[in-house]
Amino acid sequence: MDILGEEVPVAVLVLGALALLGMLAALVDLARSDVRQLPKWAWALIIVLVSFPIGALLYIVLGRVPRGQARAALDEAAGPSGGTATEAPALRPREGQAAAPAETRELAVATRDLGKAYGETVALDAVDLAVPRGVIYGLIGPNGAGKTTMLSILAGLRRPTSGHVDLAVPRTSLGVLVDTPQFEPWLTAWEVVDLARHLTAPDLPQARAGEVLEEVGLGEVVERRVGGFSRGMLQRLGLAACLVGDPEVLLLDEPSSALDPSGRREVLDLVGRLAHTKTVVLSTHILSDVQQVADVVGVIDHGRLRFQGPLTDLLARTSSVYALQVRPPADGLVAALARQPWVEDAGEQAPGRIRLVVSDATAAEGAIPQLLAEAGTHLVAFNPATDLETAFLELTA
Amino acid sequence: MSAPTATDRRPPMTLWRLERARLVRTHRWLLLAGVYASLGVLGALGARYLNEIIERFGGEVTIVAPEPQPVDGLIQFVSNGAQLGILAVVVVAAGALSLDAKPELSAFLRTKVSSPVVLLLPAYVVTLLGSAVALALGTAVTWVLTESLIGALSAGPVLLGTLLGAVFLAFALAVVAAVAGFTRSQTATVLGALGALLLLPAVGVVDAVAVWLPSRLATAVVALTEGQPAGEFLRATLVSLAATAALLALAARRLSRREL
Repeated sequence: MDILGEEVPVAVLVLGALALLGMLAALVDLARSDVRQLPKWAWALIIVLVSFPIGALLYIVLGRVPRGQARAALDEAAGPSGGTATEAPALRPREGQAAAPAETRELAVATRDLGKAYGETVALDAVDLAVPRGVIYGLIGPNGAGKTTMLSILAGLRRPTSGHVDLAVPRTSLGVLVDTPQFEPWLTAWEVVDLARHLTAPDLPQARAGEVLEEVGLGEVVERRVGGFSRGMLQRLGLAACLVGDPEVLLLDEPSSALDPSGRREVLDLVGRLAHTKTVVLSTHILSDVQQVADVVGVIDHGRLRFQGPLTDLLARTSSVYALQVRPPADGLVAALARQPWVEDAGEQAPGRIRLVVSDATAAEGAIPQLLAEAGTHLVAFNPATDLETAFLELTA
Repeated sequence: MSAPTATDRRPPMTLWRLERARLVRTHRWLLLAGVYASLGVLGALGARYLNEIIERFGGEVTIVAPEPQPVDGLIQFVSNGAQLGILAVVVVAAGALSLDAKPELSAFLRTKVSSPVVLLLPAYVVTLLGSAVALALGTAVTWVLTESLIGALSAGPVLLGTLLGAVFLAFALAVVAAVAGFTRSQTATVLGALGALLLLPAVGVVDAVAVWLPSRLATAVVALTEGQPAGEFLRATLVSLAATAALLALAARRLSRREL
């Protein structure tokens, strides 16, 4: 029997009921019989006290409806859209903040004026996040930008100082993966994942735990205790525990940060396969990961959302940026470039690697070969720098 | 779908199983049972052979101790149990009830339940059962050895006294749970809970207050065996039960409001 989100064996309930009946019978018998060793009232105390926790436990297990479940039940009764979602409003751009994605798709996760302060330190400042249903949303930002705080608030692990969070699903239907997942070291991988299944989706078959472990590449260590797992294995295990309940919305905080390149590839493939069936909010500082899997990105820096929208829109902002690679030294070439009227910025980021921001791409592409020849510099590569890293650096510079 | 494997046929992993595994696989049950059983053995042997021990190690000084009485074994067991036993119980309980000691571990469970209170209940109940069984084991060992070495003890007072001792353990665990609601680390929880529990005997020097204190139940088995009426412990029992409920409610409230 499933009560309070926990499976209570029928045998326990039967034993509890028998214990209560036994208590009543013993009390009746006590009233009628003579006693030895102790006075009658003392035996009555023993009978009642021994039975005391059983009655209390039966009330807690059978009688009490926890607040969270009562709310979820009300939400479900409210209609098929269910959950704690409110109709996502048209989110307005704020000065210095990014606007919501132009799409009018239903939002799975939205925040309004979300703020979080730790004493004097502002971790989030009036953030309007808008995550459309069914997209992979890449939340990117430098360390300390507020990504983990944002995900913690969405997951219900922290409370915002101001603003609101609107979720299209009940919070228990979120799959949450923290950046450095940890588990009791004396549990096996299967037990961790099955515990997660039991707590989040007890109706799903137990075989689901093994399937998900296989899916994340831990099929060989199902019965191993997790105390000996590497950080990468723990991250995979966390992902399995996150996926096993088949959640509608996943919040993944740095899901591939501890993995080797092949592990990262596998996890990104896995996340990519979730596209259109799940809503995924993926927080990371590894920009190439986001570039590979995300449809929509949010750039967060110093607690403020600097950009929010389709990845293609963000990349389009960098069409006037070029990466020029030459054989060092490049001082003469950089100085020559800086004198050109169509150059907005030219800087040598590493020996021979020049980042060039131009106002007129045609003029740049025509003039650069001549400038290279005049400076006597050998060309290695000349490419438009339409990568996420450049866009990110432009936004957060 | 793949064919069912051995793992698929196992009972589901629940929070109750998790807590049972915590007690068994970390060998914490051995600490509880070992401490109480050892105290039981030492209590009975100490009472029976106290005179011989004094004679052997007393040197030229002659100390005349009265002939051992059956209740002496219980006195030794209870006095040691009130210190080492409670220390073991508090340490084990802090391990189970400090739910937020490791934030990443806590986040795994907290994000999968409707309220952290759901996590508190199995941790409290399973630890209480383990501690109460250990207390009963220690008392049984003392009883059996005392019967064979010194003399008979009345069953009723011993049983009632053990039960009241378990009520005190329920209170002590609730203290640990409440302290864990205010602290982050297990060490802080242990120290805070021990501090709170040690405060009780200090308050108990005032006779008018002592009869109401839960700590009175820890020594009830001795007093009852010596013939003290059981009614003397009614007030302490009621206070313990009420305080246990209040402390658990406080722990639940603190857990629900705490951020990770």
